[in-house]
Amino acid sequence: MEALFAERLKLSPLAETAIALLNADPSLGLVLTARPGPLRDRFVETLCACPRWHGARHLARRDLGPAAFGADRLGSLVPMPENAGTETPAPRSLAPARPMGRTAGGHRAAPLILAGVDRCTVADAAGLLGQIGDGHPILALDESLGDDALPSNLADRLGLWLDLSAPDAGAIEDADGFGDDLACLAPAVPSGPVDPLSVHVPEPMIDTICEAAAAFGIASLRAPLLALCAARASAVCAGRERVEDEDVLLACRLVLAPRATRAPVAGEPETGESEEPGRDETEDASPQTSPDETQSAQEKRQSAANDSRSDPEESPEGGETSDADHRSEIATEDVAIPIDLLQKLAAMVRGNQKQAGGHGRRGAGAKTKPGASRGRPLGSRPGHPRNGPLDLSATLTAALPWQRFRKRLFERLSDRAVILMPDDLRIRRLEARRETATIFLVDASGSAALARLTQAKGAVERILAECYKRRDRVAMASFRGTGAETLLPETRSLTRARKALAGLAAGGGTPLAAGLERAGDLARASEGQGRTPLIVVLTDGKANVALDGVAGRSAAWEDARRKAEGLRSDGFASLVIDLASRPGQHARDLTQSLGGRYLALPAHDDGAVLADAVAADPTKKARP
Amino acid sequence: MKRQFPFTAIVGQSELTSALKLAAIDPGIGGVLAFGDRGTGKSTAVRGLAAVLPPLKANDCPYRCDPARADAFCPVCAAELEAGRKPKIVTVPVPVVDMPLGSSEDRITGGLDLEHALLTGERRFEPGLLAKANRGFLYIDEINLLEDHLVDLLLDVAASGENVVEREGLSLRHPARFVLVGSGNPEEGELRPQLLDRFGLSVTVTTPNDVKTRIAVVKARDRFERDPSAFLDECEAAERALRDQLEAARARLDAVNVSDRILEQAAQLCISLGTDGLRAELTLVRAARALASLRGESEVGFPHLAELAPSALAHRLRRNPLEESGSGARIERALAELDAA
Repeated sequence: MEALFAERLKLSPLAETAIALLNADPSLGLVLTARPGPLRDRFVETLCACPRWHGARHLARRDLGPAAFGADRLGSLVPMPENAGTETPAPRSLAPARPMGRTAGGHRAAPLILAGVDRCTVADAAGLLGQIGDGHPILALDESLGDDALPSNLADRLGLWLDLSAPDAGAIEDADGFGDDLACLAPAVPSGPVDPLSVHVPEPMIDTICEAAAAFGIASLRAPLLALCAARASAVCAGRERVEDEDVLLACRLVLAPRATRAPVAGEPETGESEEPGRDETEDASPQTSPDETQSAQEKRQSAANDSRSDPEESPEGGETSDADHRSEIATEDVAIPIDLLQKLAAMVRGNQKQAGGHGRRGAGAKTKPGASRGRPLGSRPGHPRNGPLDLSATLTAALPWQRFRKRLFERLSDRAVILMPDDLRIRRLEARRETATIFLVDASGSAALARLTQAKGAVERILAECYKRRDRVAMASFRGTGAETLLPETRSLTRARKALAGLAAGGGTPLAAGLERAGDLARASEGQGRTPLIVVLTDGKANVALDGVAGRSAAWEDARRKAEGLRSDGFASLVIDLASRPGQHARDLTQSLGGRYLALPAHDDGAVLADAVAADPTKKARP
Repeated sequence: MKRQFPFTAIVGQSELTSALKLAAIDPGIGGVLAFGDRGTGKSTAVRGLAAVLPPLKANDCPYRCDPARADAFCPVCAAELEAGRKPKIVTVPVPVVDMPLGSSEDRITGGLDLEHALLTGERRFEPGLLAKANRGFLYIDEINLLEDHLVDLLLDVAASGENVVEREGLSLRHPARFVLVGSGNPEEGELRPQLLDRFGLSVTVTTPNDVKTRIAVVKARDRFERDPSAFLDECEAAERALRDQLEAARARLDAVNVSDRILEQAAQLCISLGTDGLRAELTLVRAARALASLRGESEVGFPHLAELAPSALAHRLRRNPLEESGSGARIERALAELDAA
């Protein structure tokens, strides 16, 4: 039993490698996606045992809020923001300032371990990054498991992205022939303090990394730079003085592959970008299957793709022709690049595909909240008024019990009415208003399309305009055929919403249950981030495909009813807009199951009715 | 102090760098907004800018008052002047101040120095970020995520050139003239139109699509990180040349002639595009003058207007939030019409 447990807790070779890289170059940073649990603790323990991560500081989510950041929690450790600090006196915290970060002039940086990053906003992360500057060693613990929620600015700056929950990484490695590289790397610990920057990188290697980043569809130029750092660190680990192919491969695997927004497809030039997102979404559309099943399905597909591949040397990308030209050009020029590199890369990203699809659209998952400097008061807490409004009465209350004592202690001040100490200061805590997120679920089935999908699109646009006025966030999903897909993860960008809507194709059956399930997923994710979701379903309610993809009216309706009641019991507010040309009982039944509001799509385009429906804020009557 | 990647070594992004140069030549243009993808060098450009700016002559006070403008002295310098002393003049680098997103209002405007008050019982004003940015640049990354009331505050101060503090029993005003530089990623949230209008120039920064440029960027950055001093030495000549160029352009600025014809064309352009208010024309003409000055020309011509029209006007056009087509096309069309006329 013990042995079995120990076996379960063994870190995968990839994780071991990541630790070795982080030890060689702490400033790389790591996003660790894993549930809190013994395996993650094991990873963090192992990392902290490394000499350069020793004494890492743990920060919890509540330490990350913009208000908490001003000075108190980090103030004692972090100097003022670089530029702002040029002419300021040292931070006035009472503890002595200790410089952090590689940039702070040779001092050893105190690495940070951030828990619950997935719940932190872009603004929070920006506050943190502003304080510590780029290149600070950070281990970010992402507990969202692919819910697309990490603040994009932080994620973009962290080099390695590792998913501990990825099923059986070993199997994929063997299949790809990576096992060997990792085996020789894992036990290697740098023998001395070698500076990764002293490692020589041949120019073609840099080209390869940039190529790979472009092939993965990674827009940010930080990614190839971080990959370069990772390759250097890998060379240091292996005790080499120049970067070799396997270092680049490892860097691509840990830095580039998880960020990929598309798979570099070898030998299938007709598979353009247009088809790629579709594939991602079919993966996403099967959330019910267990991870293992999904994985094996992916692997099967992978091997099938490998078999069907006729010419492995062909340019791996079918998207922009200009890119493809460049690649083939360089591939012929530089003999140093292993010919199968891009092919391996393609395999790599498929292994990660579910994750890749998610991370690629991460930019959209960011959220803003009004912050804690406005809102409803929630009592007060000790703190510096720089971080919030001063609560005078609480401050005085805190100071009063000490007055007699202080008057004796500070004789010079004994003629004062009250002697205040910095510790007495209390600031008001404010609760920010919860934001609303409107989740559209559009029925794109044949029946709805025939009736009035174009009008439905118009209706959605009307509501979108209303959301824009209210600064709401929107997400969009649709269902047709046998499943549902997320057209747009939650975003505040109306432009994107409009594009997603314009690209909506229609036809096929009506898998209402699958659609409701998808909407529920989106709503729960949104609620997890502290927003109030509102589900707007546009459908005729004539479900005819059940959850398992089998056609049949009664089973389909039964599933849909069950899902709808599930949403109702979760307390989500909803609005059903009936798309049927003759508004009928189906959509009304659905509304009843959802416990929401019903609205027949106005026969002629009556925007005012729709706008009113949303403006009336159905969220208010939602909670039972 | 941390060394910044040199401004002149930035590969590509010419629109952004030239907008920043123009703002450095004529701070009256009113700020630069850079919207674009992550990791495209927005912050790098702004932070690198500090090094190429010609140093300032300033009074030795917390606000770096301009010795030539006695009417806009801060309370410290005004008191000195009243006492009959001449403020000491020093040469200081142009401040480029980073404003972290989490900054609170009194950190920005300055406020009561609480610890001082508690320890000594005296009220003392503690200057905030606005004071630090006086006569320089104030840079806000992710400005679209900044709380609206803070953005309002910043823009008000930027427009009036003066920070007025009336809080906690303090009453004080000090000069705060700075160029506001904002950057952000529009996919994460949009900036309200009324705020957009306050920025002089707005540029869209995109990731270079061609692989060769990307490779060049990565190589340059990598060389910088491995050996910053060698890299900076290499760029020193270019940096100095740019500094001289900016200084010369600034000196020449007032001498650049703007003919009535150009003013008329600018006005026609704005009318045909239907921009609100007159800020569009003013910015366009100012920017065109700065551009002519940068290029060493003595007269603003139509090409200058045409070149700057997209960045000066695109963000001011009335736009349906859901409208698909960019404003760039509309500006092109208006320019073509104007050129033909």
